Order: sequence, then structure tokens, then C-alpha cells
Amino acid sequence: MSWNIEAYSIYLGVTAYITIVVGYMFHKYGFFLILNLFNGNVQAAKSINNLLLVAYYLVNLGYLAISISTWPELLSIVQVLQLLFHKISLILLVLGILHFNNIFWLNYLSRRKDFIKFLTH
Amino acid sequence: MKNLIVPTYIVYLPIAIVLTFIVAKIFFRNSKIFMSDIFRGRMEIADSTNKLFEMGFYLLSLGFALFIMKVNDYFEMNTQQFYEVLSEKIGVLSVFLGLMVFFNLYMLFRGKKKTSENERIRARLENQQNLRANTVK
Repeated sequence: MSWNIEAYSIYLGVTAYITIVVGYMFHKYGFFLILNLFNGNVQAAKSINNLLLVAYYLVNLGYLAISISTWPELLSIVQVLQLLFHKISLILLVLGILHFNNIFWLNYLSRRKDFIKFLTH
Repeated sequence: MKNLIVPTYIVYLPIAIVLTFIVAKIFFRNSKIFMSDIFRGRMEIADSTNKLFEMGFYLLSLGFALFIMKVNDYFEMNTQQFYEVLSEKIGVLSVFLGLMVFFNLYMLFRGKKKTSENERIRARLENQQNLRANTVK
């Protein structure tokens, strides 16, 4: 018998939970950075923050759902565990790299005067 | 092995439509403030532009959702393949919606930039005209 459906449900549960929690925390703590970029315009910062959260959820959860369709047939529990941890670790790595990329760009852009002008005028 | 194509459609369509509507609702509720900023507080123009963008968003997203609906790979599926097909379709739609949101954000920022550029040009022209008027006197 194949264990694919069980593996899918565990995989989707774990990765969706990670994605949603990470997105919620970015939403919560990134707000002040965005507020800083917008020179204290609270309403604009709030709405851009919400829009970024929505886009983040859509792209990440969508990628999770797409990535399911290429899994091989899983015939034993060992295979299930191997593939499961491999895939979850990949997702975590990608999220981490994206996160540091975001921090780098936020830092870089907030140093550039013309970008701040572009956002706030 | 059963013919599960019609059940795929029956599950996929409501999810696709509801997802599109939720995303559009959230996006265009939040974009109103940007629109009023771009049009410098002229609310009728801002609201109608917002509505027009919303129409375009609905048309593109629902059109894409229906376009990718057809199941090409299988004629008969077991339960596992049913889940795989379904999740691939919903995933592609969701990534598309995310990219649409980013594209619309780009359009908003572009509009903002254009407005401020135009204002700067107008201010410079008025300055020049004032100077010319003063020198003629």
C-alpha cells in the first residue's frame, strides 16, 4: 500500500503552520520597519503591510500545493520519513534565505535617500 | 480507479472563486488609500479607478482559474492522484494571484511616482512663468 495521502497531510499541515506563523511574525514586527520607510504615515504602512502579507501567503501556500504533485510513490514508512524531512527542511531553508534577503534589501533601501523620496512623495 | 474528473471540477471551482473574491476584497479595500493619495484626494476619480482595477483583477483571475481547470493528465484517477491534481491546480492559481497582487502593488507605486513627478514639473513651470512675468514688469 502507498503512504502518499498520509504523507501529504502531514507535510501540508507542518509547512502551512510554519508559513502562517512566520508570515504573522513578519507582519507584526516588519510593520515598524515599513513605518520607518514611510516616514510615519501609519495608514499607508498598515495597508502595504497587509498587502505584502496576503501576497506572501498566496505565493508560499501555492508553492506548497504545487510541490505535492511531483512526489514519487511512497511504499514504506522509512521513505515517508526521509522524503518528509527532506522537503520540510527545503522549505525552511528557502524561507530563511528569503528572510535574510528581505532584511538586506530593507537595510539597503532605507539607506538610499531617493527610494525614501519615491515612497513618501 | 474511477473517473474522478467531475469531482475535481466540483471541488476546484468553489475554492478558486472564493479565493479570488477574498484576495480581491482585501487588496482593493487596502488600495483605496493609495488611490486617494495618487489622485490627491479627488475621491470620485480615486474610487472609480479602484473599481476599474478591481474589475480587471476579477476578469484576469477568474479567466486564469477557468483556463487551467481542465484535467489533462488522467482519464481515470485513484484518490491519491485526485489530491495531487487538485493541489497542483489550486497551487498554480494561488501563485498567480500572488503575482497579480505584486503587479498591482507595482502599478500603485508607479502611479504615486508619476503624480509626484507631474507636480514637480508643474511647480517648476509656474515658477518660470512667475519669473517671466516679473521681468516683463
